[in-house]
Amino acid sequence: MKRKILIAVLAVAIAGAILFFVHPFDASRAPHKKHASSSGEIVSFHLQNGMEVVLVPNHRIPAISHTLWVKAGAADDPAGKSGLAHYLEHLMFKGTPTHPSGDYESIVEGFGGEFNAFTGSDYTGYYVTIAKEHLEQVMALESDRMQHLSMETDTLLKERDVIIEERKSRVDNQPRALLSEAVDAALFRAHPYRTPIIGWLHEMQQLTPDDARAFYRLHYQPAHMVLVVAGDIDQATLAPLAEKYYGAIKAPKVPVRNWSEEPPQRAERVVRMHHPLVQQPVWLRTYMAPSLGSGDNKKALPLELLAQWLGGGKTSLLYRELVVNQKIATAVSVNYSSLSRGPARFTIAVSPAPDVSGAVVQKAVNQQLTIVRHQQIAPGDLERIKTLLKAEAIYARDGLEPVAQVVGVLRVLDLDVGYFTQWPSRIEAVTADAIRDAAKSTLRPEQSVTAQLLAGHSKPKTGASQ
Amino acid sequence: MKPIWWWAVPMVVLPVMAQAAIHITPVKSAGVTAWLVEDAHIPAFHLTMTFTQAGSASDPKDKQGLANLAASMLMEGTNKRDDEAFHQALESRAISMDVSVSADALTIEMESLSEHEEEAFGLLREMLQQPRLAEASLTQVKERVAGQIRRLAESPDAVASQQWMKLAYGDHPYAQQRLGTPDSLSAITVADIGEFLQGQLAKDQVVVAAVGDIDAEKLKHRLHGLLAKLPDSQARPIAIAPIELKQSGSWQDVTMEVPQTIIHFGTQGVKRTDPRFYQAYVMNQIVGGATMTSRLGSEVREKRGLTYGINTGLSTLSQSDLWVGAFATRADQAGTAMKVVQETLGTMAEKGVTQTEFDQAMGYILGSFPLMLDSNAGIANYLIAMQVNHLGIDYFDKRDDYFHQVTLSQVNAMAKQMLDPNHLIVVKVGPKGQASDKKVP
Repeated sequence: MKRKILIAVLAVAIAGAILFFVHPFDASRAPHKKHASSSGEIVSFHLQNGMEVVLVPNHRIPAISHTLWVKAGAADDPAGKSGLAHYLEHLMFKGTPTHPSGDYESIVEGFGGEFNAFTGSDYTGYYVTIAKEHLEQVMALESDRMQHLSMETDTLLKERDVIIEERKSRVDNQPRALLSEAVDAALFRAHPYRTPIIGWLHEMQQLTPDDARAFYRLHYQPAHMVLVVAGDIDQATLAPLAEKYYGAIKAPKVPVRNWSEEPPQRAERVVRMHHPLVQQPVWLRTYMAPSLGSGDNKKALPLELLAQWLGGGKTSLLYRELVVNQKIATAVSVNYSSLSRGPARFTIAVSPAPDVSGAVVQKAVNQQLTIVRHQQIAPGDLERIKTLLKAEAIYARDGLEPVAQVVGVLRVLDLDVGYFTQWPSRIEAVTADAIRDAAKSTLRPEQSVTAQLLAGHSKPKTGASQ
Repeated sequence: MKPIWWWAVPMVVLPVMAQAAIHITPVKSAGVTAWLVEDAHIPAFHLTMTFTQAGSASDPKDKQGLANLAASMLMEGTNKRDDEAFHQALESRAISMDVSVSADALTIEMESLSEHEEEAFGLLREMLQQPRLAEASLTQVKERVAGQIRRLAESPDAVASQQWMKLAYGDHPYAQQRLGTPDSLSAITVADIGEFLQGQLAKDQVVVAAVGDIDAEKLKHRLHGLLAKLPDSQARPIAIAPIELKQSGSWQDVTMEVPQTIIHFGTQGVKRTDPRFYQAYVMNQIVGGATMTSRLGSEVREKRGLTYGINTGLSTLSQSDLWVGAFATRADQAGTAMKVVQETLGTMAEKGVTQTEFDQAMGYILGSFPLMLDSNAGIANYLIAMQVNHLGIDYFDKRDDYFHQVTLSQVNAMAKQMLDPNHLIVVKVGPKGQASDKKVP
């Protein structure tokens, strides 16, 4: 029941106050870092070609999860070619000369394995969970497709149709997803996060097989990958296998990730979208916020606690005020994820009660934001929130994948895994002042977008009303 | 790369299990036998309690949404503490509770650190025995549910799923709206909720599973406090009539101005307790289980690029069994895509499957099972499913054998029986004015 929330919270939340960048391309510098964890130590080492390998021991079941993280995501899509990183992620399943299309799935599922892949703004990942005796077979398959993808033109064009259908399912059929695209495009003016991960439809339609080949050659380099293996295995078994299958991959130049930086934000923005399918309107406010990879990362952990204080469940400020006291909303939520390379988003979403205007919701939200910007959280509330968040580190160890995911995200972002292993003590160290200061510096109108999703069709404004 | 599949049809989909070194201890308390798997892997435990006849199909027709509202009201405080104080008590110990409703059942789940085991059970007992049921809370919960109903009406997938249930089940309670309707919600009173919670959650239909860092003695003691005061049987006994789907096939078009068309299809499935269930399970894996290499994945997605994903599955309710599938596709080619689906099913029904496909499916079914038992919640859900479906406490040991007995010719016979395209119940939700070569051959 809780695991979904838990993974989301953790993926968001394993953040720390101090940033420590390691240099994953230089094996001699960060050879064997170890971090204590109850089910064994998390171990990290580098192969000759610069590829990093992380082991997360977990001996509950005789299985492993194997995830290859690539330091290339949608934010690395070339201008005018949005959706390319995600397109390539699909193409990675289209076969090599040794293993033609369909082989990967047949082999992995034939052994009972579960697999999938995901593309984010900052990274792309490929994972398999399988009985441990099949690890070597999985490595052979992964290593092969990381180097020798066939990329036949016919197959590539057909898969382009598939990602276009995926876009329609995920975005075009869902007014809320369309709103979210409009908000991102307004929130970031220069930073690549303004472009949707799946891509703009008109650009996806123009993606070519050559685009995909070029992206693959440029970004899929061993020194740009992190392998995370979690499960019932030790380093003595893993290291030679990793060296055999991944260590021999040639390491040409590692690409530089040239992302446009977001200039200082000075203008408050408003987005209003009408959609004929809408029956339950949405009021939304998103602030550009510091993340672990961008801006003042010391604010990240206080912002995690702030999000919980403001919008985490039925004890939160916004729920008590908007839903219970004023009865102007039926649901509220607050989201913040600090695990990103570029700026984070701090988002407040409200479902207004019927016939309640956006202006009424806005006024009530602003009142609560004034409180968190100027007042200290009460000691009892702070204590409760800390207890809740600290326990996430225990619940996250229930299952093979949650810890593997968090550790993978951290390493693919070049962040230290201490953020996971030291999570409880770092949460404990956050003060009421730090939360207030983070609220004050982040929740500023000039770095925000206020958005509404409304029913019906947009109408041109008449007269001098605007 | 592939969709994370979720069943749009709101019912319990029973996963199938294989052997694993998991020891189940029956724990008898207050006349109920709970199943316990002790595991101190992390200092926490998971408890699941399912009331098997308190789901939305048991709602009176004019009060649809009752079970779901009652479930939500359990989370709105107790006689001792209002909703805020109740949730503060949970959060300050990092205890999480969740109450949910399916067509058949109402399920309560709790996750707690073992150090707070006593408080966790105390709060659960309070919730179950002394729910607050304040008029103001009910109004608030109804508003929230009404908001959820409005949201679902925006989603072509949810609309397709609802229409499919209506088309398949007609007047049968399984066609009822789990969340209710604006009218039915307003008809439900605090007294209705009280009667439901006091009368319908009974000992003779509760199944309990606990997994994690808790021992049998403690569990027995805690469960006694929790269950002893439950009524032995329901005040308003629920008897949902068994229903078989019509095999004549039917098709419904629903107009919705969306850029992509959603199609749900399905037909009569096989009862979970029927030995042929395992044959059907293997058959389903081949026709629509895998993303790219299943018959449907290969024909609709891989060869033609008509969809992002097409999957099928077996669904077992207490009184009905289904085989269902769904996909989304280009509005202007929805007819073509559905035709491909029908032809693919027809071919498999007629010509059967290959030995390679059979071996591949068996490999997946036998090998993937242990992977699902890596967490307390994962194991607890299996224990509940095993009890609900009367599979026996030794099912983990026997499961592989059940599958080993399945033969290729049985799978082919099952395909012939289930995959007749003329038997399909189909709902298509999408924009109007599209060419539609929809007619079933």
